[in-house]
Amino acid sequence: MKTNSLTITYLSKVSFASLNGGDKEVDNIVTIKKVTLDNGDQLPYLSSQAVRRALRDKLEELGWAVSPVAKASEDKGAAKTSLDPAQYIDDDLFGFMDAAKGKDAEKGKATVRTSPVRVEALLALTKYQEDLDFGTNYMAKKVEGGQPNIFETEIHSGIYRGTILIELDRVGAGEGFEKTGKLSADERAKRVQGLIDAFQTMWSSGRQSRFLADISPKFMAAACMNSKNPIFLEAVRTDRNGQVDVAALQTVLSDYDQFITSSVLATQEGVFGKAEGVVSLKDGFSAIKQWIRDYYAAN
Amino acid sequence: MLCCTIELKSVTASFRNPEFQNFHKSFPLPPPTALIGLAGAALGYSPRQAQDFFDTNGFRAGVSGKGEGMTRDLWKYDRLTGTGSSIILRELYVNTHYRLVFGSENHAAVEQLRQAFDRPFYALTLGQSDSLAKVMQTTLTDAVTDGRTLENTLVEGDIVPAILEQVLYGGTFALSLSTSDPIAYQLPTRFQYKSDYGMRTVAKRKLFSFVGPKVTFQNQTFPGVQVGDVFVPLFAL
Repeated sequence: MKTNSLTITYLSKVSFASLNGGDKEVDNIVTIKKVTLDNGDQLPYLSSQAVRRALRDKLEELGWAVSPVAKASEDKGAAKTSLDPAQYIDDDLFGFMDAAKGKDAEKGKATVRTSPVRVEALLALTKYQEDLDFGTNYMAKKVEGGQPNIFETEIHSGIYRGTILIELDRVGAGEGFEKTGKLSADERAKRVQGLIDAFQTMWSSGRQSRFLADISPKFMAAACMNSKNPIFLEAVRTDRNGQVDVAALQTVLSDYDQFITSSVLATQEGVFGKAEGVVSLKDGFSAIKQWIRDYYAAN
Repeated sequence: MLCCTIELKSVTASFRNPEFQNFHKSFPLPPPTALIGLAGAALGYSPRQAQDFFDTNGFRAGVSGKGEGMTRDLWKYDRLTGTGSSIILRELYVNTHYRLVFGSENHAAVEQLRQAFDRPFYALTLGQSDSLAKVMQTTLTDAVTDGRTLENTLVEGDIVPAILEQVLYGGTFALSLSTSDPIAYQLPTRFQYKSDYGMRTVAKRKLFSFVGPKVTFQNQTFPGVQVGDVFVPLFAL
């Protein structure tokens, strides 16, 4: 069977962060997004839309031209990009939808590109411990020297898990490329490798001025697949000592053997130990980039 | 009837109830049209082609499962119209585990569906486009059985009178963990499409019930398929 996708499930170590703002419950407490489990535990998360934003910003920082954002075509619509995947890497990788009406205000003429890159939310493996950072500000005071306003910010520290799946066969091709035809193999490979670079150095812009947090991967389980299946989705976990359960990942590799073309487990030794069969992050990313080159050389 | 069973897990999942606008409430399980859409993504079909595939082959379907928790995810977006930003709250189920069944007398169509879930054309998602679904396992079976116990599943019709009737037989039950939510809904089962990916309008609705906590029926059985230790009742799509 032909290879068609690349899936990566990764762990980030967040030391002290307020990653993603949630809905306000109390006026002077700045909340973070959390899921509530049936047992009452709350797990903080960075939403998938925030991860997409982080990747897009990083692509721009790495020198890629990103698609300009403009007003929506519809009165109540969200802002849209240029909808030009041939020219812009982010329109290609992240897709778009413009719900513009057709001729004579005919509805149902949306311009759509289904994203060939899927990013799950970055969900904490450890629960929120009710920690709050205490702060004061003078922002609401018109005169100097008034009483400061107090506020608190929810903060969390722990290991977060996320997943990315790239449909290699749809990057640089398909919806949005009807006029130009699909991109060259070289350009398609460059774009996916650009995304991998952005992922390796991913950085979220939310509240980083007060809580500098690194969300880049410190452990990853990656596979080049002939089935678009995020096989490591829930299987990457840590044990009581905070070490990655590599044995569990070996069972995943064994269970899905017929769907896997290549695989790698990689870690940053400064954060997680390096068990047998696990390589350095540097070697892991090198392997992934080689898979990408090989895939587009053959397609 | 040959059935394809699919076991799925996801980190997040959301099945939007269209009655809600700025607050995107989710059904507890994928409704019939979401099941058709999911199968369509696996097959690489447009929404209209997927619906035609199920119509042509007279499929029955079933779904059971639940999440370990949920959240109300906040979306904040700017329309760049100078009127500031808007927000949307969307209910997401978290760490979900579902068992799906699709059955038909057309065995070739069922086998085609199984192969599609083994090697989906598009990456499978549950609700929003980033809610990746992991296919744990697919199987083929013709073992349709009658089950008496329902839990976290979707059945045809209004199940509430039948559940209440169990009191007459000495049974115990709980209707739902969240009693403010309805149990029975008129859910869309068919859409009218202007084109393959074009605008759609609801063409047909049918009454379904979302069963929550376990209830064992003393005087009624439901045709379905046993997927591992979970019974999945079937309904006509």
